[in-house]
Amino acid sequence: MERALDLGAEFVEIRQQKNSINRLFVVDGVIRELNTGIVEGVGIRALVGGAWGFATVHGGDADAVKRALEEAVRLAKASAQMKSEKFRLEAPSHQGSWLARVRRDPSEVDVEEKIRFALELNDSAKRVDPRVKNVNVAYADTHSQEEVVNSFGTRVRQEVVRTRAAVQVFAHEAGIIERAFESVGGLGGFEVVETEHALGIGEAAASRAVEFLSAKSAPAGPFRAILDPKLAGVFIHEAFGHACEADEVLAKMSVLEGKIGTRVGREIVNVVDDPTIPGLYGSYAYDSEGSPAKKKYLVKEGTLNSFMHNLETSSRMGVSPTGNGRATDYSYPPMVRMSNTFIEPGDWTLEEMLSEVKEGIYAEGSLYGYTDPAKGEFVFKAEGGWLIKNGELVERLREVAITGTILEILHNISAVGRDLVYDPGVCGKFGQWVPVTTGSPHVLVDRVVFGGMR
Amino acid sequence: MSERLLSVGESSVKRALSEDAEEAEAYLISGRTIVVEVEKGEIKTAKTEVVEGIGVRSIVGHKVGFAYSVSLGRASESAVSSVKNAKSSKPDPDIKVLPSPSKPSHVPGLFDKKVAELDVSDVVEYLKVMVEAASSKRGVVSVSGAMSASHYTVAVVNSNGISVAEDRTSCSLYSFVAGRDGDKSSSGYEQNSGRFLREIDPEWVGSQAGELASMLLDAVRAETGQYALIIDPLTANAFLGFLVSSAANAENVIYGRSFLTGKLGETIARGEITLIDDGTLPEGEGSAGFDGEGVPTQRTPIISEGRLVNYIHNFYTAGKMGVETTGNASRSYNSPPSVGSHNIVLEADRLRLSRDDLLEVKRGVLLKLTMDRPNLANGEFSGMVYMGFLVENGEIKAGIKEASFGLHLLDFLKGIDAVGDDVRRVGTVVTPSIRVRSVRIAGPS
Repeated sequence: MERALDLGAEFVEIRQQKNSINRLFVVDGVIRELNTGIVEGVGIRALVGGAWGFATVHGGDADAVKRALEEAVRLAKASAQMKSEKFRLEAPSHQGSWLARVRRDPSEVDVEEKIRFALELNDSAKRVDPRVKNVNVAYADTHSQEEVVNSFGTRVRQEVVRTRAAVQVFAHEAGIIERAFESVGGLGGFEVVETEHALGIGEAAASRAVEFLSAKSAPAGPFRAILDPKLAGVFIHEAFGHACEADEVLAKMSVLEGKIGTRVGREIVNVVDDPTIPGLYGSYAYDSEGSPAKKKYLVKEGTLNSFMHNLETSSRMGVSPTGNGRATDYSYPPMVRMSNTFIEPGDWTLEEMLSEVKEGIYAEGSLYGYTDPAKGEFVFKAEGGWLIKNGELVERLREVAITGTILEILHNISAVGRDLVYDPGVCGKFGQWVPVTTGSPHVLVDRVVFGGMR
Repeated sequence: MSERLLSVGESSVKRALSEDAEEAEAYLISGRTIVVEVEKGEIKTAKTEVVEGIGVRSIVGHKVGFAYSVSLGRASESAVSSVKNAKSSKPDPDIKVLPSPSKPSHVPGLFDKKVAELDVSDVVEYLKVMVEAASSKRGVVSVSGAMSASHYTVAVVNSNGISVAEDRTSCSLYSFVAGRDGDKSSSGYEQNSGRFLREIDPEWVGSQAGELASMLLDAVRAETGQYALIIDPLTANAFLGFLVSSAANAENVIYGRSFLTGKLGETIARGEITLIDDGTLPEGEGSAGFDGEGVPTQRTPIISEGRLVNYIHNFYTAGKMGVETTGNASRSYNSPPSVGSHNIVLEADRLRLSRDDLLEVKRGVLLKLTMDRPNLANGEFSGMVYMGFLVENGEIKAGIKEASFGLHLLDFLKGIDAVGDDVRRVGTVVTPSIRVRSVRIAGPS
């Protein structure tokens, strides 16, 4: 590190990581993948005149690390030529280590048992209905050790295990094919997939896929809508969470720029990003820059309260880091990322919400979503839904698209349920994928535009 | 580098066989990537990455196991783990043998020395030009983007005698631009990519993205109704790419995940339409001499004069369906082979019109970019016009906002009534603009 500072770097960070990954993929009861991987190496970042250089080495050869360090400084210097906006990185240093608690270490669980688990999910899905034609079960566990040191004196070690399982089911009837997806995951060992809920995801996905077979296309246009916890969770992550990432704000890619302290929704809306919740898929004790994880309110009682930061954005905006600097692994530089992001529960029941809707749409599950950050528009694909008439779910709907604008949508949320549900996922940004949790209770939205085919 | 990869590959295969694998295969990659990112017109991060990895596949009694590592130093360990996994697995009756050797296809233009020798300071110069070109357009407030350049060697070795290696390069540059004018905001996007550095024109990418953001500042809402849809090559991947890489993907067809299941031999498009997966296209970004299993690539018609004539296959899916592999094993060192497309080429010469004539519709939408993708299971495609224009009486009238489109991919294939004379390669898709006669466009109200 001193070598890098001698070469002219203002800040240096060295991140060493070793991940051991086990993956299992079962298609219609046949094992298609039983895979063991080792991903190990060092990522080095150097800052010169407001520009970053980043170099990586696979493995841990000391000479290669030294060369990468010099390369990082050289790259930073080359980039600094095209940088007029300088900033000084300022941050406290942290020392510590954290070993996440694991009840059943997956490396000590016999592979037979993992296979049995995957086959049980397959069988439970197949049993639902003869129209279930294809069942895909994925299981993965990752053991990750990471150590971050930087020139401010930070020295942090973290060791975590994440376990996840997912089922995708395709059902067929008379030329119609429909699909549904369920997953479970968390920070922890094999115990994560041994819960009753986890063992039920095959059946749940299969039941929904079969129901979609008789579904109609959704109507198009603006409707009153109830979003289920899964969809509302992905929605708050995509449409709102990303706009609260301070790097997006600094890049002029967020419509929330300059809006801290202003009203962005009704008072019943509270949005939280909290990596400190035990056992969730997006939890951690330290981020990839060694900053301690923190709970923060992005929206508090309808008012925009805080952005999420890493070392760079907090320095440039003159606030404290929030522990949101995350990287996929050592071969990527940390960026501002979410952790576990969710809408806090309110006091409505689903029945009460339904009784508020004369004609509308109940939208559920999420296929994908994205935003146009500069314009503040978002699009979501829900797996399906129901047509609501006079408070009753009357007709099954297949895939629906939902569109709207970030600045309007939270004002349109008129009721928040009491039934918070967390859902694990992976979030992609500039090619980097990190484990996250989305979450929400049911929410009632007064006006949302559906783009249907009917 | 080829020599080293082949030798590591061969010793890994031997190691797996010595652990009682009946058959074994190693896939290896080694190279370097430079990525430089621009944010708000300035360099954010410059990054170099040493790309390296080995994946070993072993077969023991119809059971298959897999293991990988990011360093070639652990090749032997991966070989041993893959056999251990094979032994722990359960038999798959469709696992037979690995492919046998045949000579890789001759594909010119996979490697450009200029890309391989590119330094980060050269990349910075390209980005400066891109940013300057974009910034000069009216209303542009922020220019983001990135340029990347990679050179790498890929090798496949198996116990049946396959032992092939190839050097390849690739490079890309994109520009994402934000425009603002009072309360109005907009985005613009453009990109160049290819195997050769001469594919990258930073001045053009920047000015096109900037111009798009500038034009889209004055966007209008569309009335809900039926419109002609003109699909720009920039976003054709969402239609044509999806059709080949996902819908005609044998892996999805075998398990009935795709709406093209059971449609082989049927007429699914207009007779003037031919759609090809071509792994041998000179200088093609999706071209290669051999696929992820070491099988020679080929030119495979998917739709021939309107008829669905082939799915794309790797060795496993071909065996399962009782046909020959099409050389479409798609691969990374960290997972078993899947099925993927090479270059996707649309041929519809009999429907060709000049650009002016193509726009000659009463009411239409010119779709420059959609971020959506179709539904694999049912073939429906509903999406947002992320960037696009309203066309009226043959003229581009204004940018369009908050509009969505909805159509079925089979209606897309049958509804194509003309294509432009503006053939362009965007990534791995080679196509002119495509016009679909009548598509439902929904406005926000």
